[in-house]
Amino acid sequence: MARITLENVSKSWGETQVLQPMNLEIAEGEFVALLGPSGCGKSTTLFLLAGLYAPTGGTIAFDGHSVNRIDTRDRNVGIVFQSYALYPNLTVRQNIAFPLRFKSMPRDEAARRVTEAANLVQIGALLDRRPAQLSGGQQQRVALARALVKEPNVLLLDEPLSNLDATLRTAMRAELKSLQKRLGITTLIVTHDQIEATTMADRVICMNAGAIAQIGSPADLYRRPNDLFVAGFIGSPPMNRLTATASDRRAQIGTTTLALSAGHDGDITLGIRPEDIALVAPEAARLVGEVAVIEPMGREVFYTLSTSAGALNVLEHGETARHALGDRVGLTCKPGLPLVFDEQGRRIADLSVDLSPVALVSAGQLEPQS
Amino acid sequence: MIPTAQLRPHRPAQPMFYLAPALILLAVFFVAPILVNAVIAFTDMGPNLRVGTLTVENFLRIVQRDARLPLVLMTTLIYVAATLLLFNVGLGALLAIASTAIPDRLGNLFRGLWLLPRMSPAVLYGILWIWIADPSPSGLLTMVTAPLGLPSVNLRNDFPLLLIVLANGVVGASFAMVILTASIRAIPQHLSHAARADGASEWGVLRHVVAPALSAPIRVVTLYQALSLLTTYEYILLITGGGPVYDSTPYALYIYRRAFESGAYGYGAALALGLMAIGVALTLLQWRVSRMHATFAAPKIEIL
Repeated sequence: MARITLENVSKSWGETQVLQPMNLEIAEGEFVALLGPSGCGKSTTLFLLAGLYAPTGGTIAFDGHSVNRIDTRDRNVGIVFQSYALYPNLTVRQNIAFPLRFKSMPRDEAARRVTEAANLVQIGALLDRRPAQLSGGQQQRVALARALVKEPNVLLLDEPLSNLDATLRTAMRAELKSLQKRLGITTLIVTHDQIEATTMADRVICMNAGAIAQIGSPADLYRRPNDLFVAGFIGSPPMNRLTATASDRRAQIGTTTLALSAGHDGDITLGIRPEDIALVAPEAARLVGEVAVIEPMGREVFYTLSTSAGALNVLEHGETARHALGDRVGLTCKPGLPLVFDEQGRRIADLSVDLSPVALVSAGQLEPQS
Repeated sequence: MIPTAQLRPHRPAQPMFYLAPALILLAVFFVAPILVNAVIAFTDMGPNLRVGTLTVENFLRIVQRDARLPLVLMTTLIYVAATLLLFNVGLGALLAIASTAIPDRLGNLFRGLWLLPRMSPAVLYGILWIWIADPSPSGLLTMVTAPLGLPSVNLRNDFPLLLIVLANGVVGASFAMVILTASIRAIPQHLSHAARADGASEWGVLRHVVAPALSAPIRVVTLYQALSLLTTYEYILLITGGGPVYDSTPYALYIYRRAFESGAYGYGAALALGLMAIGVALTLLQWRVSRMHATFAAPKIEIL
């Protein structure tokens, strides 16, 4: 198990800088997710850790020792690729045993380890098949067993679940997580799927355009996003955004004027998640909208409201809609919300807009439904 | 709604109508010559093209009385095997691997250069080799060896087989090079990444990832080039003329020399039938030995 340190690590291909100088520390046994859209540099980071790419600048260290000059094959990393990358001409047994070929290991010891790894991922019965005779999920398990068989210090997972169907993906997510906790291997998973990142990882590194946008626990990223990118990338359905103009302690949103918790001037963006909005009677709220679309989703009802500031999505618990199309409803939320972002899209931590219920209405009606 | 009456009734396809042009072409250019050749093989047709009698004499001559034939067959074996293994497959594979390991632009240039002899007219290429091999002071090889104090060698006279293997090999290597380059390019990059992560060196990647991917195309190239080497002789005819005497005359050239130099058309046709038999036998053998049907089966790698 290794502790991983990245110090000012950057990567360029010719003139194109794909990774800005990056600093990162991953603790021993930690499960970390690199999350971001395609082309944000997350896979590049994984390949740098694997040693398949050489960094343009900076130092990558395992347990405090630089591995910059150490070949992939000597780093003792296990990698699972999105395409599984199984050797098509070898059987499952040979595939899993492949990394052991390059270690001087007694035959029976190698065979024992292969069986052990195969049983760990529950493919003990498939050892004599070839990759082409396996389903996607089975191939995925073989790739995992092959990565684990050499008892790596670091496990790198490059979008390992992307090619699986939805049911299998959910199952594998839980399985991977419990396997990682059981084995205690320092693990880095690269994914563009926020659900994958937040469900499995202890810590999520959200990347955007070759740089780290935010590092934090899944809850941190969800509740306290550093900027509009993270706010928009994490959470589904995405956070609502309203543009507003602040002057002193007031914010002008459409035709509505709201109070700011502190003085601020300039264009701001308000961000609020659909499930954080409570729908109340129009008189009880400072912002009013009209129900434009109603989408019952089973456990929840998804509303699209049109307000003078633009369209807003609201997620309300309940199996049937409490409001009808065209209804005028009031929008409120807990104190501290909505989040406020400045012109550059950075969150202003100690600033908030007052969307709390109007005082004259009795408290019982105002509690957010969630 | 479309009224059903307006829908065109389903008419049975007429495959013969569409296939006819192709079938006619096949019949005229592929099947007919074989039949004509087979008939001529049983005649005593000579330079005057007149058919005297129908006879099996030609075949008896091949089996019993042609004293040159054992030498010709041995020459064919050496020529085909050496050219195939050293150049058409061996050098081709080496070129493919080397030219894909270097930066793309350089690799393309490199492969382009190797394709040049294939693009140049055979006569020009033949003359070049004759110039290289010429023992006179103006021959290229002599120009190189003379200043080093080495005696001049008459390649065409003393090592004619070596010369024709070299000349054919340098042209022939590019075929395998092109096919195998495509095969190497088609290997998913993740596979070599995985091998490297699993502990393989560059050599290990070559052995465990590249080589398995090349085995199927190499089988195809081997068969195709073997047949091609068996039946073509233009460079040999141009460079050594099959000589001295019959020293560099493989089977295909022998047929040509018998039929057109000696004017024994009937005998040439009989020899040609023999070559066809050898070719068919070789194909079937290789099909069996190398499980070629697997090559033509659907790919086993799932494209993601």
